[in-house]
Amino acid sequence: MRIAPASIAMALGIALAACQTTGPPSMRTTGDVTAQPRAAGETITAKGPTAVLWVKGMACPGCIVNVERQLKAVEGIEHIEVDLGSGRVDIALSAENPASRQQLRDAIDKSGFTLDRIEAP
Amino acid sequence: MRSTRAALRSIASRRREGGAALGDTAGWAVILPRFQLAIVLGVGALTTANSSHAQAPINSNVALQPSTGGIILRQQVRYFEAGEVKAFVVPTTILYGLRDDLTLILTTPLVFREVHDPMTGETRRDSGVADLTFLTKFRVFRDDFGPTETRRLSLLGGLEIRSGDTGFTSDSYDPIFGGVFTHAQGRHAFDADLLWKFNTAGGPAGADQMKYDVAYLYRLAPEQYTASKLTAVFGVLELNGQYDTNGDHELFVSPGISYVTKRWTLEGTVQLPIWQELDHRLARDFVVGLSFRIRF
Repeated sequence: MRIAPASIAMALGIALAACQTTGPPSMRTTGDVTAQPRAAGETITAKGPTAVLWVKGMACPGCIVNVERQLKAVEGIEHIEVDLGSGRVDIALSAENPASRQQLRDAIDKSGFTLDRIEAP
Repeated sequence: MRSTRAALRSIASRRREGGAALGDTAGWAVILPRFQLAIVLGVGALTTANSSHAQAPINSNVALQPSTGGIILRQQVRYFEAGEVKAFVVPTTILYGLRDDLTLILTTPLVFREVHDPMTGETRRDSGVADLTFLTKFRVFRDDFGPTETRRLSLLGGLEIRSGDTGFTSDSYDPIFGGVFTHAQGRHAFDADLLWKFNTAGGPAGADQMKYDVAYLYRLAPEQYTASKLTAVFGVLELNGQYDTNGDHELFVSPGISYVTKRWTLEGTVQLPIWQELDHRLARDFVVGLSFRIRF
């Protein structure tokens, strides 16, 4: 029992040390897109069509999992990238069978956030 | 105010003086029921903090939820001392997003405890499963007013379920109702919750409990999220209170820190009592907690 506080203090120390980093640049969703900030309307690198979803209410990094989970379940989406600070979600759509706007709207709804708008060609 | 620790000291004192016919068995009989009660109540207070989302306080609830089909697993390890009693409480919580606005939450707490008798020098250790908590969280209000800005209100309802493990269970099924509000804006977040547990056990251990928490989170880093900055560190400051209808009342101040990534969260907290008026359960000297959450 006496060991416990020391162990806990050590773990807290590790957590504090981890605070010094803001995460590796590669900490983004899957795919081959760049992580450079893009202007609205500018699309990610993809073979098929792309779309930008502007999402509100993603308060923390964990919220990204919610959005990705729902979008990945939609057929016709090949790649997702989230910029948490701006609420911008870039998606690469399948060239053969792209997801519809309604499917995208439903996915964001299921994720528990608010879809502000969709920018798509 | 007469704390239970004082009562324990009084028992020990009387035994030293030989003024009371308290043999070893009788002594344990006095100490352990109070201790069992402390474990039951203490664990209940700890495990009602089912805030398993990412930007969430450590000991309080949060109105954020996993998405439909989302699963969050939270493993906590908590250590507390209360006079001659020391205990590890290890609650495991699993959350499942039935819908984006409805979450099912189940918490199973293991308890490893040690009780020292200062008179005999004897130390008794045992372990068991305390009462389980099943809760549902239903969001009734959502206002997402910016990319990372939101305010939400959720209702909580469920049941504390007897584990049946003698010495660790309240042996009753106790309904729990309450609500939680969350406001996140920029680098700041505020959470407040209120929970009421109707204790159906009856007797001295059967007091209803009101748990209330207020929490403030400040994002220490990064200053601004980007596509490449998807981890965050939050400083957390909480007030965690519990009032029982038998008159017991305690309030903790709980600083903590939370390291959040997209998939997991690591956090640590210390709970220090700033107000304790306890006649029916042990007064905890402090609580140290570590927690790990992973999102699927």
